[in-house]
Amino acid sequence: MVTHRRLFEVVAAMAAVCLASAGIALAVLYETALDEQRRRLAEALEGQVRLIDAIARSQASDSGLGPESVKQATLRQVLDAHRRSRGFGRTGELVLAKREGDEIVFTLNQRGDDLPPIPADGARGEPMRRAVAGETGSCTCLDHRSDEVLAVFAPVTGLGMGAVAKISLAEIRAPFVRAAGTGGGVAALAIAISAWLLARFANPLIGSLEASEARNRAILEGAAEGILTANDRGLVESLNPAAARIFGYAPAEVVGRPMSLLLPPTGAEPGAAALGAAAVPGMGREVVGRRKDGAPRPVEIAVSDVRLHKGRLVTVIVRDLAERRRSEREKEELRQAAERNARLAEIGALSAKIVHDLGNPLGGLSMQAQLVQRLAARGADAEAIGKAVGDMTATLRHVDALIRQFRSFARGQRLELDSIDVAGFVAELVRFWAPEAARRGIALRGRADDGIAALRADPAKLRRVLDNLVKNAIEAIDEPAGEVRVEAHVAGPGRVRLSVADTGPGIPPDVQVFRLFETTKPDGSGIGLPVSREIVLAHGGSIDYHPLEPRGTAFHVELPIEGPAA
Amino acid sequence: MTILLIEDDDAMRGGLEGNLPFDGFGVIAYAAVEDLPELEALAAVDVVLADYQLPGESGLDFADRFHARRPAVPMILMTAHCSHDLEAKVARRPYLRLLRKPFDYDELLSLVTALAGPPPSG
Repeated sequence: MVTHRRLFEVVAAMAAVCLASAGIALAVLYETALDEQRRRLAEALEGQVRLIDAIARSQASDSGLGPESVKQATLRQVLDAHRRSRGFGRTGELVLAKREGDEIVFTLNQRGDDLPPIPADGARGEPMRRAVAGETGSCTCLDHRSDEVLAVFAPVTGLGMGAVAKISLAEIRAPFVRAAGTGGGVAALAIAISAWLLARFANPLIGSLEASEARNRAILEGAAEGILTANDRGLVESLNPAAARIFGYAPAEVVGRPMSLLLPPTGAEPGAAALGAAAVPGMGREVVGRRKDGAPRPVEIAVSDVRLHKGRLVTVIVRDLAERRRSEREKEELRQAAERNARLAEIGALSAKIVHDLGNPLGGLSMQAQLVQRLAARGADAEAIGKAVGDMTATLRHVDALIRQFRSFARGQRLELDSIDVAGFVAELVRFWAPEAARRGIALRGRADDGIAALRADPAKLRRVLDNLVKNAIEAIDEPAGEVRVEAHVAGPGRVRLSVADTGPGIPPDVQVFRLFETTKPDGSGIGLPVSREIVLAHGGSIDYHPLEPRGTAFHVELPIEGPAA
Repeated sequence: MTILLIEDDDAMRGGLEGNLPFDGFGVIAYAAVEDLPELEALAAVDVVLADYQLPGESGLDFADRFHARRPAVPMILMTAHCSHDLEAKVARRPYLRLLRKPFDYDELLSLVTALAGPPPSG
């Protein structure tokens, strides 16, 4: 897991820092130790060389020997003296040698056996080569045994030889190697312990952080609302799938780009913090966003602005109003369709009842009339004809009674008067029938004069009248692209006129539309307009119609503003 | 040829009862199924003409009952309001025809003739 790798990296960095500082300390100490050794070697060598020179000089003056013999005697004494000593330190020694032809021949070394001569121009024995060449100095280099040594060298002028005091570098390094080993071990242990402690305390913390992050991610990804975050420069830092869906982007296309790409000012723009007011969290503001394809998208946003220790975190929650409005509109359309169906069913039920009640006697009447005709044609006696005509009269009385009953049903219902805003009434009527008109490709328009006073009428019954007129108008139109207009005018003092005009074929002159069962529609009942007329009359109003030029019909309902006279 | 007529509306029943004999049919007319004698007494009936909506037993129920006794007799069910449900019920009964009100007398006459054959002239 990423966080665990990070943890390991932190521990590794700590270890590296520890090791580096320990290494630097050791290196400084080692340099110091090396200088110290070099100084001691130089002192020792200088002392020895001076001593040898002194011996040589005293031999020369005391014995009166020739120079070669003096050398021999001095050398013998020095060698005797030194052979008995074992040098200094574990590996330190003094070496004397001289050049003989192409070789350097050792005359004294304090460690081990006699040394074979070495070539004068080889890589080995650099300090001695430089000593016999008359140089004085120091170096860390290979000695005649090819060991790496710290050496100080100087010529012994009296004897024509070179002297080297040297000590193995390994001996100087040994304590530091030991210290590094011990220190490294202790450091490794300390690092291991601290890593363990860190892991022990950090792991639960990391675990809970990870769980919290997973939880938050699940909430973000599953949310129906779009959720975006932006930094204080107004750049989008994250967005959830719902936000991507609302704006039509892939998440990667938005991250790092300005929030203003999607939304009008939310307070997340650069410099918005300075404006103060703009950065105030807004709850449930409706704004228009912009989709990837450029289409505007109505959304509701809630902005929260959190100040972090470094910068700000602006969170914008976006609710898609287009989707919600669509579903609300669909619901409303369903409700209206149901209401329309209910109204039509109500009219249908009334029609069915009247058709049934009147259909029988009227059908019977026609047959009774036929019977009278037949009886007369057969020359039946007056009594038989009289009886048949009497039956007809009885039937007519029955029909008349039914019609009276029906009229009183329509008229006798009490009006539930209320105040009606005529313009609103017309608008609602148009809105209600608009889907049906649209379905048939008919333009339905509504208009009301300004300043029509509130009308006192029974809203439900008046609505039934207008529903009937608009329904008839829509059904009358027999051409594509017809038009139905609903208008409200002031018709005179205290009177309002509601008109419904269509561009249909008009009403044949021989049809009396307000008479029961008169209809021009193939499946019409011939009841709607008679009922409408009864309702209008009950309001103290009037209803009529006239043809329009070049074609069409207009129905007018005139009503007293103050309602029916008491 | 005899027609059994069951119709509760006086005008309709009177009109049919008066006219059918002119076209050569005998008519036995009743206003309700209850008024009918035992089915055995109706052996002479060649066609049944019944209203669907009757007080008491409906025209449809009577038609079923009558058909069980006299499977060969064609029947006409008259109705003023016709539902899909009723249409389906009638369609399942091959011996039954539906006649929607309001109808013309001649319409009825041609239907009866089609079902039962022309009456003996006279």
